[in-house]
Amino acid sequence: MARNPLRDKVAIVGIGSTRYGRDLGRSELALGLEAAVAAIRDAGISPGEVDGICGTGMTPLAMGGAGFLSLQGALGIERCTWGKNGWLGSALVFTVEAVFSGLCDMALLVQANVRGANMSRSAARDPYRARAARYADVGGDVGLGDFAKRWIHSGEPYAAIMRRYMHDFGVGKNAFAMMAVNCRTQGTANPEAILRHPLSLADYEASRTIWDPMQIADMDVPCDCAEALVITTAERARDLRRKPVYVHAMSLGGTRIGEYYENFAGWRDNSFQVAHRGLWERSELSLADIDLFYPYDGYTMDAVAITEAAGYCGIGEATDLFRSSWDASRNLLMLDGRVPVMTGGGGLSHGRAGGANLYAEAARQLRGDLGERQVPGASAALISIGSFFHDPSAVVLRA
Amino acid sequence: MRLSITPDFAALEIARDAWSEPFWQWGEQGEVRMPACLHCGAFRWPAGPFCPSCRTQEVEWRPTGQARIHTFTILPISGEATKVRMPTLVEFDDAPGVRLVSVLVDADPDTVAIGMPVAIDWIAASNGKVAVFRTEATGDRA
Repeated sequence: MARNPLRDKVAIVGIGSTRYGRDLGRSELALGLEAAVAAIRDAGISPGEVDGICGTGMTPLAMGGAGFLSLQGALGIERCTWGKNGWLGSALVFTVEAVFSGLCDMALLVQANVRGANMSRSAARDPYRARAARYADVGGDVGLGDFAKRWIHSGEPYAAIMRRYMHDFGVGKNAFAMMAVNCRTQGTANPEAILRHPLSLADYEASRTIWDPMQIADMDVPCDCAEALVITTAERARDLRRKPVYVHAMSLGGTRIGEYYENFAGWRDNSFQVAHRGLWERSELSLADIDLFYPYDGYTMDAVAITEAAGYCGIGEATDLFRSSWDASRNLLMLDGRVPVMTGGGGLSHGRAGGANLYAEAARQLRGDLGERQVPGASAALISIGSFFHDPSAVVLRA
Repeated sequence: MRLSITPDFAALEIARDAWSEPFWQWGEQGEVRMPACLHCGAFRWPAGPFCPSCRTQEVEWRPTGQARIHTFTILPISGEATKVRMPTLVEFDDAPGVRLVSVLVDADPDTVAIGMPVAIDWIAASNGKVAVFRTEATGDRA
């Protein structure tokens, strides 16, 4: 076992979410502030108690957008002893680190997402069409800035990796299709889901090809949205109005390939695998204790690889696992016959929130007050967010 | 039949640096060479200042042997029923660990498969030449 001194010492005590929309006509900061205010109210604390902020961004100190300093200024929070930006899975991990280490006591985590502002109005109505066109006829920029390492868009290496997965394991797209259909079914119970109508396996098959073999149904839905969490110590959490959701164990992951997508080191040696190994070495709970599973679905390839890395099946075996976990009457995955995957619909249905919606959904489920889509008796959740290459987290939250 | 396009690289400014410079110079002579560590022999790509295996600096630029497709994707081009773009990743028989990303050109995507040998062509960019891949069969016909 690895050390895990932070076990159950830090808790989520406030959750705030904005509407999800394809074109809300609002800035990242406006959305982030709305979510922040909602989370602070939900926690029942005074804004002045916030003394640390994790904002939105891949660059830890970047300002503007919904970066930590812009949020602090706009919220009028007098003093913070900690601030940083985070992205994908790392944002929550950074925030929990900061509270656990004592650099702050009441941290606000905000993740805001807006679809590309440079798109036209018609593109805003149909983001896929705009994106496909934009990348399909780009001429001379294979290797933007650095020919040796760049792809035009992250979808290209992901599509190429998906093809390699199918080749290496001799499988078709069944696992990807079942994940996509499952998330869309889960999304039907979420009033905020952008794609709230269900998808069938036949619909998946018929969906448009974007980067062959990747189809539109394999890709999350771009949208405008924000999520915010208030995170504090377990001691402080016990005095607050909301039932605390504890961070039991967590890990990040990285490998020697660094940032070079094309040097992808394979199925056994990628960041998802490293993050989950790191998690299970630190967690007292094991997979058998997990009631809810949230594998990030920026692309279905992510969710499939995360399911394997989590340990639900061996590497390359997701197709068989999903077949045996498939509830055909409801078009839903139930792992081991009991674990729902991606309640709320995830990125494929609810919308692309960089995974922040998975943290928020899991925490709400563990509070036990999610109404219609509440999973009865859920007491532990595994949330894994990020990519094969950067910002992969694996986190166990418990009630 | 669909065919993969050759992008126009004429305006592309290649970011050349001290570590990758020999790659581009060999390319101008129509040859692929990759940096191998003088100390442990490990290939290092993308080129960089240190060997990730033994942490030394010196390299020699070695021929890479036959290139083969590691994986690829096919992008439809809007409004063009018969044209696609094919970002492709290749590996080399004599340079283990190296993968080069570019586009596969003049290929019928329905005939392309992982493992297929490809030839390397060099196409003019604004300040050098860029490698593209060509299926051997197509190359023979050309």
